[in-house]
Amino acid sequence: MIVASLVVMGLIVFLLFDYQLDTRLKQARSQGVGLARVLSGMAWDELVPERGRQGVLQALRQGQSNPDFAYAAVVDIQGKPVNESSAPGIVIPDQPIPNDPLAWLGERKIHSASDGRNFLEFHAPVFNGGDIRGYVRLGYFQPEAGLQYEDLPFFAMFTLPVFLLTPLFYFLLRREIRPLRQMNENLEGLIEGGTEKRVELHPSGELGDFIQSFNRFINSAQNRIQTLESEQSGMLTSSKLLSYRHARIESILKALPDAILVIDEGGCVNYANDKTVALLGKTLESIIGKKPQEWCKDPNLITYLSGHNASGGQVGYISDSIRIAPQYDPEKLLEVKAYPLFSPKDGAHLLGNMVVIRDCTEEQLAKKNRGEFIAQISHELKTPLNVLAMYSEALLGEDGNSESFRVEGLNVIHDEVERLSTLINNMLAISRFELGGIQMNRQRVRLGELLEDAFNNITQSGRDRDLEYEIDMPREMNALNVDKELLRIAVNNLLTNAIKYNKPNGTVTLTAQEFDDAIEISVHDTGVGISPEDQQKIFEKFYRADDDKVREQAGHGLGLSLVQQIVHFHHGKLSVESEHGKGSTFTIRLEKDMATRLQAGVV
Amino acid sequence: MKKILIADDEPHAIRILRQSLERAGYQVEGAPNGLAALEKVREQVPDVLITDIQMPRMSGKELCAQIVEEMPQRDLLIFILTSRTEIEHREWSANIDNLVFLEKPISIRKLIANLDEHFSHEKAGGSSLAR
Repeated sequence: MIVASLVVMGLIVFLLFDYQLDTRLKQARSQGVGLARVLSGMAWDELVPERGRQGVLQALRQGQSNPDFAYAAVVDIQGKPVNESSAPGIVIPDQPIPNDPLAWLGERKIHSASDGRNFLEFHAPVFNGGDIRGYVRLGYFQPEAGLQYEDLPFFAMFTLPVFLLTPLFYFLLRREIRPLRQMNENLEGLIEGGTEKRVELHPSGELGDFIQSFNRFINSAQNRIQTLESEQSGMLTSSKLLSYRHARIESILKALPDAILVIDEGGCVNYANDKTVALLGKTLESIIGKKPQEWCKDPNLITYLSGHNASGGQVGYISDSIRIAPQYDPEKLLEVKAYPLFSPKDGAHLLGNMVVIRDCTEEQLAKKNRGEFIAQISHELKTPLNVLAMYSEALLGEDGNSESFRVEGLNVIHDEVERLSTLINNMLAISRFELGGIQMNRQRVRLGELLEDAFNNITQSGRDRDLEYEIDMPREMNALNVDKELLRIAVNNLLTNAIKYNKPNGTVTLTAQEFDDAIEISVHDTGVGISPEDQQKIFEKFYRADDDKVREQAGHGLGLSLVQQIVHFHHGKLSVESEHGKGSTFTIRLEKDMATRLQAGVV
Repeated sequence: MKKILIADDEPHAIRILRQSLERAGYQVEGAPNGLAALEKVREQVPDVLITDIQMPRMSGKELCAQIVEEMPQRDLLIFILTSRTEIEHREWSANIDNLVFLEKPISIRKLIANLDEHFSHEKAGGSSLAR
C-alpha cells in the first residue's frame, strides 16, 4: 500500500517535471522562431550598428524576460560574428552555419565545448538586396530535467500532505475493508464446505447495511442448504428403502416356483418373472408389452386370458383355472389361473390381471401313479390272500381229509402269510418314512447271517426257477450297527428286482465285501438293464422305467425308493451300475464308523 | 372232458386250482405268465381260460386282446381273477365276449359251480353265463 502510494507520488513528480520541461521548450521555440523571423526581415545596418551604438541585439537581450534566453548574434557569410549579445557569463559557441539556402530558418542543438552547456539555437539568413549578407543566431539554454530551486516549495506543498495522508488513508481503508475481507474468507469457507461463519463487525453506513444483507443472505443460504441436505438424505433413505423393497419383491417373485404374468387393462403383458421363460418356453422380450395373441399359439390359453380380462371387472371375481400343455413339450401339464388385480385406492378399479402358471406335471403324474400304486398294492395284497382263501376253502372241504394235502396246504398258508407280512412291512416302512416319524431300531447285526437269510428266502420261494442264484461273501464279517428289519427289506427288494427284471436263464448274484472303513453289499442281475436316463429316476417314488420288459412285470415303483430311503437312513450310499440289455448291479455301501457313531448316538 | 387253462404267476394258486378243478372233473393246464398261456392257446384252444391280470412277460389284458385278435370266432370262456380296482376299470374288456370278472379272493366252490352251470347249459344248447 505504502509502496503503491510512493510510486504514485513519484509518478506525479515525474509528470510534473516533464510537463515543465515541455512548457519551457515550447516557450523557447516559439520565441526563438518568432524573433529569428523578425530579425531576418530587418536591414543589415539595423542589426549591425556603428561602433559605440546600442543595436537591436543589445535591446533584445536587455528586454528579455525568458530565463532560458542565452544569446543573440549576427554573423557574416563566413560565420564570423559581427554583432553579438549574450546573457552574463555565456560564451557564444563558434559554430558555422550550414550552407543550405533552403533552410533559411533552422533549428539545431549545440554543445558548447568551453562550458559544457547545451543550447537550442534558431538561426535565419539576413538578406541585403537579394543576396545573403549573413545570419542571425538566437540561442536558448536547452531545458534540462532537474529540480529547480523555485519549484521546491510547490513540491513540498504537494508531497507533504500526500506523505501524511497516505498512512491515514491506508488505515482507514484497512478498517473499512476488513469486513469485506472477512466476507471473502467466509465465502471461501462456504465454498470449501467449512463451518458456518458470520461477519462479526458491524460498521455503520452503507457498508454496514451491505454486511447485514450479506449476513442475512448467508443465513438464508445456509438454511436453504440445510433444508436441501435433509431433504436429500430423506430422499436417499426412502429411495434406499424403496429399492430394498423392490429388490425384496423381485427376489420373492424370482424365487417363486410358479410363473407370474401381469396383464394390464389393455390386455398387454407388463410383467413376467423369470420362471415364465422356463414354463412357457418364451423369452421375456417376446412376451412383455405384447398381447397374448402375439406370443401365444394355444387357442385355449388365448381365450382364457382375453376372456378373463373382459369379465374380471367384478370385485372378488376369481375364475376357474385351465390346464394346457405347452408347445415345446406336450407331455407337460401347466395349470393357468388368473386373479384380478384391483387398485389399492379404489377397490372397484381393475388394474389388470395376475396370471399364475404352475407346472403340475409332477402332481398329475403322482396322482396317476398313486392310483396305479393303490391298484398295485391291492393286487399285491390280494394275490396271497387269494391263495390263502383257496387253500383254506380246500382244506375245509373234502381235500382236508388228505394228510399230504393238509401238510402242503398248511405250508403254503405259512408261506403266503409270510409274504403278506413282508409286503405289509414294506408298506409300513414306506408310510413310516412318509410320515417322517421313523425310529431306528439299532442292533448289532451279523451281516453274513442277515444276507444269507434273505438270499435263502428269495431263492426258496422260487418264483422263477429258470434262474441261477449265487452268493459270494467272506466267511467272517464285522457286525454292523443297523436296523435289521429295514436292511432286510432293502436287500430283499434288491433281490426281488434282480429276479423280476432278469432274463430267462439269467443269474442273480448277491455279493458282500468288507473294506477297512465300510461294507458293501451288491446285488447283480443279468436282466433288462437300465438306461442312463432312467438311472437318474429309478429311485424316485412311483417311477417305473418306460420299458416294455419292465412294464410287463408287476411292480409299484416303490421298492427302490424304499431301498434308497433305508440306505440314506443308515447314512450309507446306494449306487447303480447298469448297461441297457446286459444287467444291473446295485450296491449298498455302509460306513463302519457311521455305524459306530450311530451306536454312540452322535448321529 | 372240458379243458381249462390257468395263467397265473403265483404257483400256489395254479396248484390249488388244478387240484380242485381236476377233482371236479376238468382237465387242467397251467402257465406261469401270459405269453406261455398264449402259446398254449395257440396249440390248442381250451374251453375255459382262467387268468390273473398282473403277470410277467404278458399281462392278462394283453393275453385276452391277443386271443380276440387271433381267434375272433373262438368258443372260449374267460375268467379274469382280479382285485376290485381293476374290476372298476374294465373298459378295455368291452369288446370281449364271454368274459367274467372274478374278484379276489375267489371261492373255488363258487367257481366250480359257475363252470358246471355253464357247461350244463351248453349241453342244453347255449351259454347262459351273463357277464
